[in-house]
Amino acid sequence: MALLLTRPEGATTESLAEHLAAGGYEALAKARAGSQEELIALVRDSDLRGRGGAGFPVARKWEIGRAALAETKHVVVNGGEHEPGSRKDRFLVAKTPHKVLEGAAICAYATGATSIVLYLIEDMTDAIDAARKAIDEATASGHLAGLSIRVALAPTTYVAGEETAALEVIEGRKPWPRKKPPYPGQAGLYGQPTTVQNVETLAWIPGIVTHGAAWFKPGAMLCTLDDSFARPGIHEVPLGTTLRALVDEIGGGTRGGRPVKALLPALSSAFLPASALDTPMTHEAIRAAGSNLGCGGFSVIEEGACIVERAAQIADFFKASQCGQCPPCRMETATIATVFQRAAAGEPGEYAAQVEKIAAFTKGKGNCSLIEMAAAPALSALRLFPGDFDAHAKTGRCPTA
Amino acid sequence: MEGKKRLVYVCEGGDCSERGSIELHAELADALHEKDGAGKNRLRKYPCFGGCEHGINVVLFPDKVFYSQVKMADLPEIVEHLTGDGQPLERLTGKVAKDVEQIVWDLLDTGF
Repeated sequence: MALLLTRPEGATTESLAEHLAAGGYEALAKARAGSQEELIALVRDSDLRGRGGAGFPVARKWEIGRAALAETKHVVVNGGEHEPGSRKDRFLVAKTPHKVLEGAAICAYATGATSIVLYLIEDMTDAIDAARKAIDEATASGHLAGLSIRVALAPTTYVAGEETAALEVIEGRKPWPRKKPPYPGQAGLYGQPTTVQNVETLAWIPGIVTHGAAWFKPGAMLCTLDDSFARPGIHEVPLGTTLRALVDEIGGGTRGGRPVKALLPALSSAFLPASALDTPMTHEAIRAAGSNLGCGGFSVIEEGACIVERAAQIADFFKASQCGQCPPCRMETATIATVFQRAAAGEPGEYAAQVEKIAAFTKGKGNCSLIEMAAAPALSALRLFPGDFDAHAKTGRCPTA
Repeated sequence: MEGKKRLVYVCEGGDCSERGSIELHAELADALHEKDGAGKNRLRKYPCFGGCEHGINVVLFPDKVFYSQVKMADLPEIVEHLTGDGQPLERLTGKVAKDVEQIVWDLLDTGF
């Protein structure tokens, strides 16, 4: 039974009355009845990690927020879900906004924040409407007393979902990631300590507070399967589920019915080969297999499909999506995109060496992790599927066309 | 096929193109067409040299000369060097970080 995904895709937005009938805002009251330390200890026991992509332990982030000395602290609910294909955060805000607000209010209590900003992409109109209505309802009913809560709109630009780019947008500037340190927990919104937490992450919190850490274990995450699966959509997947079960049982297999050639856990992750399908879906195991769970926006590539063209599309996306602030990132994304354009056109070349060199040069440079994001799918495509590149070079076109 | 031609790369990245690198490339193409009768040079565009803050960047290979802050007014001297026996224009070199130059040489060595 789903723990978080309690509202079906076609359902209306959960109202305050419905949320209260399901025990809503009791978790906030329960959390506030205890100490901040007890609350953070509970979250630590649950081993909840951030669901925005980085997988940072939530309790550690909250501890940094709590320990920060400042009169005003903030919580930013990051709904900057710009990863193509991912739509779980939008869904949660659109369907269960009070759950998200309650989680944010609990986070505010844990960290000593009095201000909450819901950061939502400007084209998520259903989520924006639901969030505004829910804020009005819960403010009028007194459930969010003592908190200042507002919605801020993000541009559709990919990099606007990066947490410090979000802070820049909320402060009225363009979405350029900040140089770190300082991290938002030290100096975030308006230079004040800010806990930036993904929507899904916060939506898990009320359940953990109400039912205890054991309820959440072994943990679960919402995954958005794109239409390369036979059964696309948002699914709640228990951590530890093998990738094979994710594809076959949850996703219904590949859309074309052919065996898996590769799996992409997120656009900004490395490809995983079919030989990795028995890997359990945990942050550690996926990392050990050479990729990253990211925000769980899965795509599958079936046998017969060409990796070169897919990698070229991804490289073009990152070239177009980098913000232009950091020269190494411009250089890397432009270089990788050109390499794959040439490969796709069948021009012979030392593609692997070129991407390896530029990725090694730019690693760790720049203000955000987009540099690593662009390199991961490119490097893995070249390392795992050299035959596809050779075939392109020999025939001058896609061998599967 | 390239023989021993010198490759002349003009950056077509964001900053450089905003500073007029596409027009500079066209102007250079015309000038070489007119003055490089011996065909010593082959002109190309390059996606991005990573020296964005110092654009327009123009790179000569295999000479390994990295020109930055190139203006239209520099073209006659650049063409004179490219087509004759003149020396590189020192005033346009040494502006980007050494590691940026090095990765460009590394990539050009691979044929990129």
